[in-house]
Amino acid sequence: MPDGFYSGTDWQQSSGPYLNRYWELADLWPQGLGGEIDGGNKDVMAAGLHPVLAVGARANRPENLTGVVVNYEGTSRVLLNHANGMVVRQYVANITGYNETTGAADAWATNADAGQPVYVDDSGPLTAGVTLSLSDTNESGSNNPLAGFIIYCQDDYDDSDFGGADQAGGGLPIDGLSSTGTEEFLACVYLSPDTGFAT
Amino acid sequence: MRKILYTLSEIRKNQLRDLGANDKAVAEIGEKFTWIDRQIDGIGVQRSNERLAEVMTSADFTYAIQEFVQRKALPGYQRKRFNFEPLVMMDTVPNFLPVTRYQNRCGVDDLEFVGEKGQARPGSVQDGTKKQWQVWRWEKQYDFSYEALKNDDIGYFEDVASKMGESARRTLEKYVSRFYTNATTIARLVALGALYSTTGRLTTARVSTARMAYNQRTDVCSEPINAELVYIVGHSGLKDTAMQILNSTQVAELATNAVNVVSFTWIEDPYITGTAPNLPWYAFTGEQSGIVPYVLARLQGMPGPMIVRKRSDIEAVTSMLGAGRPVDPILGDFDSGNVVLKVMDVWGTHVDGTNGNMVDERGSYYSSGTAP
Repeated sequence: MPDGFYSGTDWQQSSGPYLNRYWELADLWPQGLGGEIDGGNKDVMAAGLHPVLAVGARANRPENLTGVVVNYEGTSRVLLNHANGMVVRQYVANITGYNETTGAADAWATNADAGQPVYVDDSGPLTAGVTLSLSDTNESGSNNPLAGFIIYCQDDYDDSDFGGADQAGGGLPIDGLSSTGTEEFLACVYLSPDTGFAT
Repeated sequence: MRKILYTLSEIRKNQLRDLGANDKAVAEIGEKFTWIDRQIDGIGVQRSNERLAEVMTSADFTYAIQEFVQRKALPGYQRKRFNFEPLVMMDTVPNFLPVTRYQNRCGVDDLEFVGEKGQARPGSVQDGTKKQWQVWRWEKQYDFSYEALKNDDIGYFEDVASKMGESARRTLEKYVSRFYTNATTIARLVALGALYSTTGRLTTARVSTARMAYNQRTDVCSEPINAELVYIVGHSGLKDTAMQILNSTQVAELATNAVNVVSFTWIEDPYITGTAPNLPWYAFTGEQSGIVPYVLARLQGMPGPMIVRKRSDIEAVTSMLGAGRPVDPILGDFDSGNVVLKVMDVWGTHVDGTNGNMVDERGSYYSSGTAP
């Protein structure tokens, strides 16, 4: 599955809000070579990529600010949008839990539904282009910061009542995900970059 | 440049010759222009201890020659248009609330025999058929950064505004296409039986069958009405089939010499989906029948799409409290430099849980095109 962070021009699924702040690339995770908690590589940031990332030391987890990359010019500076309510299209892994001994994913969701929380996950089982999963802990048992919640994409709503294109309605829930293995899917995420939950 | 200098030099030489100058004076002209040439070029007279500092060849200008100089945007594709206008009744509504339309879909009673000194029985007038429709907003907004617009040296974004207008038209065409391709409308036509639907592919005989179905249309009081098959609307893959049917003098599928009496107006709907040879087609009546198969409602004062731009909230000043003046729109807004455009249109139709978007089922005939 995706080895690169999401880069489609349709990554913005709402026209706002924006609350943009600059960070140094080194402040952000999981991204770059060795970006995973087990030393594995994530995709390397480049112009045009828009992953959801966490800010600050991993030791602070889950109390890390999260946001989506709005702009990156190849320098050390990265512009993140931290506004609550921004909707972005992202790759999400269906992992809901890990075996803390082996670090392997051992629980998976077969569907992803509206309102389901999504976390910034730096675990190795996520492929290089995926920073989000449905698991509130990573492969080491540490809490993952909350990124937001699954929400309908723009064209997911049933608009047949208005003669619109979507007669069947509902891109959610996303069904048919594997119950025995990791599967990544494209979903829209309502960003809610609070600091996760205190343990 | 060198050619120009050479030409100037030759002109001056000829002028001097015409004036009768000697050869030495003429020769000096050549030297003087050569000096000008070298000064412009930046290359002085070579001395024995000078080394050539740089030699530039085509290979040094990979980007300038291969990317920059030769980079340009080509015109985009030509869009296929769906001329749906004859298929719908256009209506204008004053606001976003549902409007109500009544249609008398029946005459009055037949006359009856009345005997000598007899009194006529009272007749009755059918109640009107009530239909409602309303309009909704259809929009899309686009957000460009100042940098993206400024960096666009090949004019890639220049036609975005016209593309936005095209997208509004395309969306409307798809909208109208869904009037009859949506599952509810199709289910309703299929449920109405053989006079409203079939499963056969488009052939001369099947157009005749559809025409005969139209010939049997009746009003609400079961009286025959003048419902005529006027339009065949089909998948793009049926165009040649339709043309063959229209232009054949004999019925193409029959071995006999039966004369082809079929006539219709072909309308290609590029948004009908299907896989050959199972291509759907529809037969519709024209407005002269009085039947309103579908309606396209538009808001009064908004006959077409509009492209709007968020007004820039910045102005150029020379002093903090001095008067400001408007700036180039490309500078975008104050906070982010974004240029925000929106294409908007307002349209709507009749939406019904049973009939789909059909205002009157008498004006439609559907074929799934699956049966050989």
